[in-house]
Amino acid sequence: MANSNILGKYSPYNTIIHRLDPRFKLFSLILLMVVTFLPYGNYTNRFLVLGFLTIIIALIMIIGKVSFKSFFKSLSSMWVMFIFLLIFMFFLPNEGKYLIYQFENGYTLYYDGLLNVGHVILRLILMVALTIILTSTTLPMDITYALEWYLTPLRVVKFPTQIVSLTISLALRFIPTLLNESNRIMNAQKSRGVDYNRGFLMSKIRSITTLIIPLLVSCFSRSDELAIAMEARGYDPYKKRSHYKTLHFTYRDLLAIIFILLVAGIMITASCFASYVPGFDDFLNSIFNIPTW
Amino acid sequence: MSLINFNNISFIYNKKDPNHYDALKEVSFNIEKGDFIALVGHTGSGKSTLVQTLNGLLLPTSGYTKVLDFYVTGDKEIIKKLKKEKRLKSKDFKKFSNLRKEVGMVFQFPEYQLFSETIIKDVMFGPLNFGMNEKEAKEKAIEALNEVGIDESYYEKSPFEISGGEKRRVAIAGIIASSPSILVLDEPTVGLDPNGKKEILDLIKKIHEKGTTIIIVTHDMDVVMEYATKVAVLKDSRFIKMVTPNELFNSKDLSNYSLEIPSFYKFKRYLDEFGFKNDISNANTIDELVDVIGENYGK
Amino acid sequence: MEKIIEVKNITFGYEKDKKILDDVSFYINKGEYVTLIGHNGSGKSTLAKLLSYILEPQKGKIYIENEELNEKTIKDIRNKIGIVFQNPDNQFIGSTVEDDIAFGLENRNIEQKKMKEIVKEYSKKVGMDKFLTKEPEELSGGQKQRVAIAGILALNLKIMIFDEATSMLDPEGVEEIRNLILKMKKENPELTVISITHDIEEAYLSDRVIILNEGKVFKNDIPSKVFSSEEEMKKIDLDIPFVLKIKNKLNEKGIIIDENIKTIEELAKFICR
Repeated sequence: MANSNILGKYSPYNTIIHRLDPRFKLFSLILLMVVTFLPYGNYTNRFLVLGFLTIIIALIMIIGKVSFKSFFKSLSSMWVMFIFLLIFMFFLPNEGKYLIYQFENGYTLYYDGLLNVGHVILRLILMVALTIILTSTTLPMDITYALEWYLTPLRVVKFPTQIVSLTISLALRFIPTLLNESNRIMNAQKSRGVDYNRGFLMSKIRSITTLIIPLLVSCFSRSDELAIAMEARGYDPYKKRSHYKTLHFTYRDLLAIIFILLVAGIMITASCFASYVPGFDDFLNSIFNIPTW
Repeated sequence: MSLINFNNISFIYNKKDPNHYDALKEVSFNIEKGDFIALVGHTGSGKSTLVQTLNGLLLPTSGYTKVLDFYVTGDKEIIKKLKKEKRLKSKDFKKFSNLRKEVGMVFQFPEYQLFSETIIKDVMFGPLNFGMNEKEAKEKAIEALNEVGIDESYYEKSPFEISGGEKRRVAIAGIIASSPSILVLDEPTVGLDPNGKKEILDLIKKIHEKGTTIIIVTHDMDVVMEYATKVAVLKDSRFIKMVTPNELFNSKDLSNYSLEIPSFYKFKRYLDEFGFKNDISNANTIDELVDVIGENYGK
Repeated sequence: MEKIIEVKNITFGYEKDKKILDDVSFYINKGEYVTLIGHNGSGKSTLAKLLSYILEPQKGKIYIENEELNEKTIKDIRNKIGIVFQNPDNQFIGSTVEDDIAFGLENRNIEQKKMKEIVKEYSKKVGMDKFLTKEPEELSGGQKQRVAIAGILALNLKIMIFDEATSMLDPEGVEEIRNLILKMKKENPELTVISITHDIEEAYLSDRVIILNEGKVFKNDIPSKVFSSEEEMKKIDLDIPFVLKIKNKLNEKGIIIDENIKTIEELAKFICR
């Protein structure tokens, strides 16, 4: 019942986004992530282009019935980072073009700092959004299948793709089981007077060991039993295995790919021409440059 | 005054979620000092949730659980009211260490709570947490280990090198070492063989005889029949009734609660169903029942 | 009768002078349903590990269909024996019910289309066909064990071992598995079932009971004979099945109950006749 996962949890709808091939979704995720990190020249262009991407991503979220609530929840855990960014990029001495205020001792604050923070934050938000779209519309197992497919070429160099993907899927399978288990252990220790919420560093470390050690012990005995059960059912890591599920690429995926490539294309073109387009930066200049107290 | 009072408590998991789940609905009943209560009901009937309100691991969404002088609740209205009437403070509803000293809680597979380097240290852990000094804690630990039948030669051993049954007894010692006045056990015999089961149950009985109030969550109706003084029945998150074991197994509506019926009562039921001519309602043991059958057979 | 398993003079001990199993011998016929009972420490779980080749005997041999169980033959023998273990969680390998049933089939490189049919068929046999896409966290212990059973049935093996498969289940789960074993046996009389259990009521319903005590075979006979003497069972701290208890007591009073009556319901019916 403790299922709060920061990077999203699968929500069992049957939207078009859910039905897309996970290999394609994984590919698009990475492509769009790369695209957000391309240089887009001056501030105006940056925000225009990322704004465009934001709209596209928001649309995908709506179509895929991604819960905005859980999205904002995972964002809310980023406020610490936000403060750090603000300190480093705004309050600590920085270079900039658009001055806000210059103190008498020479300490200066620039609008650039704020804009840079905004830019970084927006990119992070988009990354989180992309990840959540993937995890909430794709079963963990399907992501594993997709990974395995991408790793297949590595078989040529004797990379054990089958073993790796089975290991990942077993890990995913046991996450909820172990969450339940740690819940039970914590309850038992709380009943013996451990308080996981209170105390400072040392006592916190001590109370965590009361959870970690029993959890490890249980993990080892579980993995032992699991290995025996797998062997008993004829598992041999080096033998060829068939697959109960395989992925199918359909016309739907083709259309989706064209769409994503189009979006990425627009972004890349924008990035290439960014330095030539003056954009509204001059306009910004005229706004921000006025107050030079 | 009852020792424990469940006052109209409800508990909802994931309250704000669309797929929230009512684990308890308006449960009210009392438990008296010295009782040996078996809490029964089908899987998912709310038994485990109910007992976790006893030491504040879970706070009732509405209503309150009163244990000794402690109130356990997450209901804001009730907290407000109690603060006014009983002059309680906010921290009385948040800090449970005094309560947890009084209510010992043994979970399923308690051996998974062991973590210290030595058995004696593990048993001392609870008492130390509840504010005893090293010397007192050690005395208590030795007393508890004696009680569960763990020999002195084991004290300095690691809790991970002893057998499964021994681990479970050490874990129980770790809880009774804080001398709780109430001991709650959630399925303490799961996974044990008949001998191991009997050992643990006799141990619980011994603890009960020393004056500790026992609440045991179980599916095992033989345990209910042999050890409990009263049975509380839960069904679909609601409290149904509290009766003696005999009353429960003889009651006509027993099959409504999805409980396993002990063979003896099952047999009586079938006899009734197939129209056995004589009155068997007073036969409470196998021998008495066989006597009635013997006297009338073939006549 | 054709012997399918033969255990010959097996000795095993983790420590040198402490034997867990001491010169144990017995055989099991093809299509038999045998229960193996005994207390913790009687050696029965060690025997289970030997039969599934998790451990190797120090002395003696085990034969499966006249083939000696050893390192060379084990791969072949895995295609004859399936095991259902005690902990329902730790043998659930797939991420969903259907994936788990398919796991053994995947290992045997079965073609996908055929696999889907087999999974459908056997999930139905154990009554889990409505839960194919469910994850283990959403299932009860009894349901998980049924999935494990389906996964083994799907491989069409000759021998099935239940290693305390019901000891962690609630009464409902125990009943589910007890009935499922009987149903399996009815549908496929050729299937050999060995159940290692604490459940004497289950033992009473099987074809033959082997009781282990302190590393030796204490009894090996049909249930009604094995449990015939309550005193003898008391000596090794075992109870006797309820129906037999009543039968014995009525017997003392000169009332003879039909040999074939095994359930409480049948017994009550017989008395009220």
